[in-house]
Amino acid sequence: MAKLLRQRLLQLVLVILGLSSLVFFLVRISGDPASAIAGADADPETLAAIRSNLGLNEPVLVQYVRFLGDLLVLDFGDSYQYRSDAMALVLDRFPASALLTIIAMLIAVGLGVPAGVLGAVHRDGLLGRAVNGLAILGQSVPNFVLGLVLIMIFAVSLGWLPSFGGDGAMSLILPAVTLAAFICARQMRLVQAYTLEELSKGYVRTANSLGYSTRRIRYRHILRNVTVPMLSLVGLELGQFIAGSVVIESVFSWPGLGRLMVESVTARDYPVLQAGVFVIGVLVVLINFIVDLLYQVVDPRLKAQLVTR
Amino acid sequence: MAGADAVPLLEVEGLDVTFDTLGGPVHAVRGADWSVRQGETLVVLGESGSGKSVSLHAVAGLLPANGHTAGRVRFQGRDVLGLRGAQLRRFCAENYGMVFQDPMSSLDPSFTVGDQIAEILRVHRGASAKDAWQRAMDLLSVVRIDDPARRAKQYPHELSGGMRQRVMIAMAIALDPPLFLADEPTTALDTSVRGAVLETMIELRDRLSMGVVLITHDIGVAAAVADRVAVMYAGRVVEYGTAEQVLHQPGHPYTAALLGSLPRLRRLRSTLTAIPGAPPNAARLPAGCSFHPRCRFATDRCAEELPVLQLSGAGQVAACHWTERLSADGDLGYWRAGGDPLVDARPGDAEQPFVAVENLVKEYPLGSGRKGRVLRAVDDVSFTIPKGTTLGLVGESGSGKSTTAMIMSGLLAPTSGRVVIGGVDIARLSGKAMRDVRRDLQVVFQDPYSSMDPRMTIGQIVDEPLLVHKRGSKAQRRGRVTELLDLVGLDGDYAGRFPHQLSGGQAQRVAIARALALEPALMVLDEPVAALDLSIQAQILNLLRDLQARLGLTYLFIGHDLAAVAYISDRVAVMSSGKIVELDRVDAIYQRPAAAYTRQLLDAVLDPETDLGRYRDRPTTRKEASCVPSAPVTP
Amino acid sequence: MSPKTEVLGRFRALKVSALVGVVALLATACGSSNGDKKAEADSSPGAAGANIVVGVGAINPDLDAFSATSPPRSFYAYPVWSLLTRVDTLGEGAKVVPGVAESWTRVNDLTWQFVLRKDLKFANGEPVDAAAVVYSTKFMLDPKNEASIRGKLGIIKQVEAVDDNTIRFTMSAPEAILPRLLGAMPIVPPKEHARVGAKAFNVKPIGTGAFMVEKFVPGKELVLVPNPNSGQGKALPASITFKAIPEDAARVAALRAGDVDIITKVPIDGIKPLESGAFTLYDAVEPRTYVVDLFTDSGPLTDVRVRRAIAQSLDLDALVQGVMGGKGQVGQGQLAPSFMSGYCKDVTRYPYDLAAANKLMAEAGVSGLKLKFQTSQGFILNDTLLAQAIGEMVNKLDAVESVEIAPMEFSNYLDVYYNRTERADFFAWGMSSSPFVDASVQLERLVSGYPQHNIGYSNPKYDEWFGKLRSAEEGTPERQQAFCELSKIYKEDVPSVAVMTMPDVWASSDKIRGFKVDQAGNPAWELITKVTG
Repeated sequence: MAKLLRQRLLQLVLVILGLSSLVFFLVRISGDPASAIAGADADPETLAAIRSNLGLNEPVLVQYVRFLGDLLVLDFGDSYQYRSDAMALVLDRFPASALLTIIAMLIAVGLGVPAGVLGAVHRDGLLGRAVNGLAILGQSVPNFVLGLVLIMIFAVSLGWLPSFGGDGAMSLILPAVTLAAFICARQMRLVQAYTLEELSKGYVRTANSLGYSTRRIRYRHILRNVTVPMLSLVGLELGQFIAGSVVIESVFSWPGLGRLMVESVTARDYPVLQAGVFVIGVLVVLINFIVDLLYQVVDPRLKAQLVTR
Repeated sequence: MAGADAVPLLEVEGLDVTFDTLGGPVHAVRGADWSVRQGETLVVLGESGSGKSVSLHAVAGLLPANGHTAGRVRFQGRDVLGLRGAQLRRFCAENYGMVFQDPMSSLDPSFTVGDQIAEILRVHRGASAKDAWQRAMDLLSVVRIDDPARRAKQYPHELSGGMRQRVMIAMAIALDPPLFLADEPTTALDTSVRGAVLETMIELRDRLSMGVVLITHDIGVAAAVADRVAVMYAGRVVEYGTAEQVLHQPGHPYTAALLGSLPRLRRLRSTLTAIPGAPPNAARLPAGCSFHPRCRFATDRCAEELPVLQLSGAGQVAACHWTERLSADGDLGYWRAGGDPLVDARPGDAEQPFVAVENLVKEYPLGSGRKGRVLRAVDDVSFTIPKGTTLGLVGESGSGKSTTAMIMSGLLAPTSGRVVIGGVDIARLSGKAMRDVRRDLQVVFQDPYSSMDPRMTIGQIVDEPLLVHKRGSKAQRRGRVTELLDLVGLDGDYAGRFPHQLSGGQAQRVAIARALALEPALMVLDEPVAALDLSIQAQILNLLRDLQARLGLTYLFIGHDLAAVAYISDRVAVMSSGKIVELDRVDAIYQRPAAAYTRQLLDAVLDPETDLGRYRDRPTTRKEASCVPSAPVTP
Repeated sequence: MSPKTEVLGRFRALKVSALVGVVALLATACGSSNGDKKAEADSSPGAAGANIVVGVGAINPDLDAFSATSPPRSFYAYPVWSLLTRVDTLGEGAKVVPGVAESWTRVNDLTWQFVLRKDLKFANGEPVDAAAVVYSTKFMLDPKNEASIRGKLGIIKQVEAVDDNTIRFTMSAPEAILPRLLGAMPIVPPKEHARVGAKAFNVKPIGTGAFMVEKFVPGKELVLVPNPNSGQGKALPASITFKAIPEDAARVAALRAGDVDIITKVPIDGIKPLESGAFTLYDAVEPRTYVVDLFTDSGPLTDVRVRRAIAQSLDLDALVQGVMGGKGQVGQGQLAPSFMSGYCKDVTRYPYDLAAANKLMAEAGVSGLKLKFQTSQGFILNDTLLAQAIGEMVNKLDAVESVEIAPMEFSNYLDVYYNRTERADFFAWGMSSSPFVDASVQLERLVSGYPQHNIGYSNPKYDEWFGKLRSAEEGTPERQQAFCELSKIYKEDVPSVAVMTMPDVWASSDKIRGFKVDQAGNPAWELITKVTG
């Protein structure tokens, strides 16, 4: 356990260092942030002043060393656009994305997993076809189209829900459902595939021979074994979407991290990009760590490995 | 022991099982008849596709949704086939205990074995968590698992194969069923634990007065435990009688042929009388007697008229038109003597070995720690193989024999040691030099299908090595492919077929043909017959012997079945825990085994002639007899 | 001047026109369910004290007026800040009216004197006096403070307080329209500004505008409430809340759902569905000219005949109709639109004449031209569509073999704009004259050596006339003559094509009264009322 923790910490440091350095050099190749800050008609003196204010006149390597030094104390500097602490800005947007993703994930898992199991069990029946159809539909309808259709129905026509997000639980519903639909579709397909695989395994036959009810077999035995591969998927998607779903955040005016990051790319807002990459890096490594720990809980074969390590 | 006059526990009469498939209905079981009485063991013996497992699944309500049954199955006089849904589930759970072939996959990997046993009692008996757990531990000790309190908390992967199967048995008897159904219960186990598991089963049968139906393809197992034997072929029971009758005085040519295909340590000096051809596909049975195309005694009548079961001895029935005549003439006894004597004049120049393995070691690190804990899969192994001879490498799972084979075939680099083949140390080779040696060294694996591209024809598969090594023009290569297929006993027509159209034996022949394409000097045969039916196994073993004699090949033959390894080998090396514990000429190993482990292996070999009733008649006397269960069996 | 650009607005790049189509379809489909019918000409008057919610494409990261000269940045900042003068474009013409200064006089060619209003106080109690103006001007002039209006007001060499209420500006060059240019000059309370620093001040600015900042979440939300110390008269609404809704279709949906009262930047394909419902549309125009640069110092476009031929190959009426649904103003062969001071009636655009254009090309002796067209994507309304349409028109010329459209990511686009990376044959951009609404701001860009986005064009005659324009006072015939001469040279030399003036379509629910957008593109928020019940 301590070993795993050490490994993950090392991994974290490497991931952050690698990612940050990559972003550092990539954004500096991409162009001059001064013009993005000053806009189209600032005079040359102002542009020069901006560059010198930001320390962009120094050699890149000097900037890099300074950047690494600041990274050590987690100081990312001020956002070029917002003129306020970049990390604070990222952390301000982060909860919105996290909340949206977690709610969406709960909806997706809550619906997708049972639907996937049912789809597998009734593979050739009406239910199986329905699950297949829904999964394909969910994956092929673009996010923004679904989002706008939901807005038209629930906000414009029925007037039940607000058309854009950011305040209150009600405004969470539509974006969460839209995101969930997308995640759910993928999960349904995967759970279905995994379940089909499990269905042919010997322990299902054993359970049948022991006269267990179908429900017990499906939701106690099969599901538990399906959970193992599902965990890594859920972990991956959690990381991906907490980092932000730009499309959904745009359609629903959801003030999340994804939009901030894309804005920052366009505006060459280096500090926000660096802070964002840092947070996302930590997050992904952390989620992976949690998934690893959960693996040990659900998969005894891995627990044994951990003990021997 | 069974009383002969006991009332049948389970009666199967005219059982038909049909599966709906995309290619039309497949008639897997055609009017099977058998019955089992309380306290009696019935063994249903047959090769793959004979319908033995399907009929058991039909009885136990485990057929998939596309399976349909007809006929009659009565349990204690009650109709079983009419039951459906929850009623059927409940009935089967209460009355049958079931054990399957692979205990690893038959147990849920996510729950402790204790949980899995307790779950049965909680579901069906409404037991409290505490009571169920207590009973689970009792059951574990009943099936002779030491330290049940500790074992109960372990997961299936933490137990050995034998222990897992004991856990399965414990689960099967948890509800005190009157009938115990075992589907190939020992096939996945090493021979050394096979006997003990069988003994436990028989012991429990007597203690719980159960009837036992045991499905197997292994004649030795059948002989060792059966009171009565039903032999199935192509969905029908072709012979039925007591174990003595069926296995010592077979009334059906198929039973006799099976016995003749079995490698036996007592008959190493004569060829196996293999059954030609392959078992028929259930979808395309030959007319008349299903066995007639492969039967050495077949006549025109056999091809036209379906034989029915006829009484051939006291209670023994066989479905053959000629049983009476063949029995009278003693023609069916040919298996006892074996086939033609083997020519034994092989040049065994041990001074000039073609293969020399010296101090071979292969280590795997355990975990990722720096503390240097390693697993020695191969531990200082040395042997030589003179040109044109066969060294058999026999051992149980985990003995290191397969790792040795991988190193020998150049697929794995050893940690240390030398592997000298034809004067070249392949352990130190790489790149082009390795490829040159590869040509002289071919490998045949256990599963022929997985080593073939399913989208290539057999012709292309056999041609590929020739193509890669640029052996001749297209026309020349085509001729060579036909020649190679002919060499392994396949018609040239097979060149146009695809792997999935072949039976297991045919596929293994193709794999051998491909291995021979580049005229290798050494063949590493890694369990090449382990996945094959007995009748096919004999064919391949004979083919390999024949090829060796004709082409002067050198073999390293790896196997777990001592009798089969002994049959093909000149010398045998016995491996255990990564070490060779004994290496000697075959006859010496058999007659004067030096190592205790070798004796143990020899003892575990079951021969239908000598081991008849071995476990059936002495249920409480062998290896684990000293272990007395600590808890009463019935609550 | 062109703005410190609204980064968030670029999110429209995500828009897919098919998407809007889907929404339009749905809008029609579910139209009747919530009484989306064209209201009976409801003429009931609006009431003051309403809480108005406005859906905008983006909310700024800050409210810095020193860098916010054009919409949308200006329409959040200007209602709050103090400005020295104001350019009133709400009515006809673009007059300079008092702001903090109540009157001004030109002392000589290089010196202007301004007299300040005496009654004004900042919301925090600081007086709006000469010291404040001097502080603010000096702050603006220091390049370290990154004020982008310095690009326009950098000509101010010296600022001095004559007395508490009088200010004198000395310039480095004559500039007859300094009072107009000072319409972008914010005046800050010196003590407060110095105390909290520009960064903090820009998040919660204090001014003498009609509104005060109640709440500002950068990038997300802005709430304005009336300023009791307003120097601009009392604002009618009780509050104005701006909400960022970046997606066009989502913004339209928010209006339809009644979640917002007013929206900006109605997408062209969203206009029709709104027109048929209970909504009011406002066809405003931004003082932003969509310009395609043609002049280059190498390649086929160095020949003026080729540039003229290209100008003649463009059917601008069809373009504006086809791509913009007829919204906006068709370019008239000069940079200024008709409503702007400095517009010259005598200059007309080249008529669309493909035959004449082909002839010109033949005279120039060019053929088989492979041209490249750089455009922003999602930065200017329908920019890629405009580029594509123009490319197709140019492609009809016999001498043109192909026109490759190269949409650019914004920061790369800016690099080209600043001449940091190579410009192609065509480069399209939006030339804004906000908030001054005077053609001189646009014409200045073609003077030799103009620092920002210099396309290399140079004509001594042009420079000479521009000098005259600079010294000619507003409203004089000399100034108008200079305007016309400059526009004539522009037409003659075709350094660029002024394609159109960009539309700025707003929409509100039909309950909104008194909503007006001035010619600088800034709505008069203080005048809005709402019908109750």
